Amino acid sequence: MICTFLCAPFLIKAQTEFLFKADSLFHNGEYGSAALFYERAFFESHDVSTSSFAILKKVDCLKKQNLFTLALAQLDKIRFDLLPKDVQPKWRYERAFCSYMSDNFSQVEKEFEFYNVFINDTAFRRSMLFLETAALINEFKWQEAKTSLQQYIQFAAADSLQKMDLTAKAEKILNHHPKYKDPDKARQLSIMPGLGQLYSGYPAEGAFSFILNAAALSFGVYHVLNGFPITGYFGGAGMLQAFYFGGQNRAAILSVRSNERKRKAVCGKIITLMNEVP
Amino acid sequence: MKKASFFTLCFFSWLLSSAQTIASKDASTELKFYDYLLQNGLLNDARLQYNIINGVSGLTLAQHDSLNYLTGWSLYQQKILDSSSFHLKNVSFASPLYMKSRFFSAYCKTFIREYDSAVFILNSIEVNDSTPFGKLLNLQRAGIALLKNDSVGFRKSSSAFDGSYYATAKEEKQLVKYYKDLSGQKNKSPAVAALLSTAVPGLGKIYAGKTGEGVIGFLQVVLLGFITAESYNKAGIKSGRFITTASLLSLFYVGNIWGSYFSVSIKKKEKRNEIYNAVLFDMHIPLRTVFN
Repeated sequence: MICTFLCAPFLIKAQTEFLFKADSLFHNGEYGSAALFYERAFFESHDVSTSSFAILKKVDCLKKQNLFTLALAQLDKIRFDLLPKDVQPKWRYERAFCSYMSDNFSQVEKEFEFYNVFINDTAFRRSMLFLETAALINEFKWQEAKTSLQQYIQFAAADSLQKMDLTAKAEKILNHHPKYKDPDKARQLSIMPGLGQLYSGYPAEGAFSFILNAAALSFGVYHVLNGFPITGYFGGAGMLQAFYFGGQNRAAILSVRSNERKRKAVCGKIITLMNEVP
Repeated sequence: MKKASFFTLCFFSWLLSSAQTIASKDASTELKFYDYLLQNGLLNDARLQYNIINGVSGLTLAQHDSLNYLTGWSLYQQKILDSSSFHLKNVSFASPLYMKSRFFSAYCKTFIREYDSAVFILNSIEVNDSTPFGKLLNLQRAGIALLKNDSVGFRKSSSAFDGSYYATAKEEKQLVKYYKDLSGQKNKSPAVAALLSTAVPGLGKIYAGKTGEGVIGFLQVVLLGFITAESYNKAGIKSGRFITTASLLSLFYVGNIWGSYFSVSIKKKEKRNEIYNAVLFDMHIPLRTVFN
C-alpha cells in the first residue's frame, strides 16, 4: 500500500501539475508567475485541448496586467481551424477584446465579421456586438455604429419597453455625432490664417493666429511704405513665414486633438448606454 | 522476512536514484523551457523562469553554463550589456561556448565604456597570437586602445596586424586608418574661432568645421546690420527703432562669437564620436563572423 501511495505522484501528468500551480497563483493575484506556468503547461502539452486552455488562461493573466498586445500575440500561437469547436467563440472574443484594448479597431471589425460568418454560437454574441459598436464609434463610422448598436439593443434588452427606451437614447446620441476633422484639410484651409483652427473647433486660436499673421503682414507693409524697405521685407516676411507655416502645423495638430476628444466623449456615452442593459 | 526486507531495500534504492535522475532531468527540462521562452521573445516569463532555475539545487556545471550563456546572449540581444557581460563571463572554460562568451562579454564592457574591465576579460583568454582566436583577440585589444586614446597600446597591438586572417583583415586596415585620422586631427583653438567670428560673423564656425551654421550666422548678423543701418539713417541714433535693432544686432553678434568659441570643442567631440562608433562597429563585425 505504501509503495502504491509513493508511486502516485509519478503518475500525475506534467501539464496538469503546471495548470494546478498556475490556477493557484492566479487566484492569489500573482498574474506574472501564473502566466509563466500556463505557458509551461502549453509547452508540455501534447493535445490541442490542453494547449488552447492554457493559452486562454495565460491571456487572462496578461489582461489582468494590462498587457493586451502581448495577449493578442498569444492567441496567434494556435491556428484557429485547429482549435476545438467549443473554444472557438471565446478565442474570437478574446482576440476582439485585446484588439480593442490595443486601439486596433479595424482588427475588431475583422474578428466580428469572422464571428458572424463562421461561428454558430451566441455565447459571446452580446460581447462581440458591444466591442464592434465601440470600435466603429472610435473609427467615426457612425452609420455602421448605429446599425451595430441597434443589433446590440435587440439582442440584449430584456423587453420591448427597454428596447424602445434604449433605441431612443441611442438615436439622440448618434444623430448628433461629431464630424471627423481631417488634419490635411485643416492644413489646407490654413491658407487663410486661422481658418484651419476654426475648422478644427478652436475659434479663439483661429482668431489669434489670424491676428498674428495680420500683424506680421502689417508690420512689413507699414515699414516698406514708410521708407524702411529692408526692415519691412526681411523683418516682416520673416515673422509672417514663421506664423503662417506654424499656424498650418498647429491647425493639423488641433484637428487630431479634437477628433480624440470627441471620440472619447461619444464612446463613453454609448458604452454607458450599452451597460444599462443588465 | 529476510526476503521482504531485501526487496524493500532494493525498492527504496531504486526510488532514490530515480529521484536524482528526475532532479537532473528536471533541471534539463527547465533549461529547455527557458530556451523556448527566450527564442519566442517571452522575456517577462524568461525572467521568472531564470529565478526558478537558479533555485534548483544540484545543477551540473554544464547546466550552469547553459543558463549563463542563454541569459547573457538574450540580454545582449536586448542591449542590456552590463548584465549580459556578467552572465557571459560566468560561462566556464569547460563549455564549448566559452570563447564566444568571453569575447562578447569583453565587447559588452567595451560598448559601455568600461575599457579596463574589457581588457581584464580579454587578458583571461589564453590563446596563441598566431591562431585565428589570437588575431581576433589582438584586434579587440587594438580597438580598445584606440577608444582609450592609448597610442602606445594601439601601436603595440597593431604591430601584429598582418591581414592574414579573413575575418579580421579588413577591420585591421580600418583601425589603422582611424588611428591616423585621430592622430591627424588638428587641434583647433576656441580662441582663434572666437577672434575670427569677431572679425567676420560666422567665420569662426566655418574654421571649427560647421560651415552651414557659419553661413547662417553670417546672414543673420548681416541682415540685422542692414536693418540697423537703415534705422540709423532714417530715424537717427536716439530713436527707439534704432535702439531696438541695434540691441538685437549686438545680441546676435555676441551670440555668434560665443557660439564659435564652443563650436570647436563640440565639433571635435562629434568627430571623435563618429570614429568611436566606427571602431566599435569594426570590433563587432569579426565577432559575428567568427562566432555565428
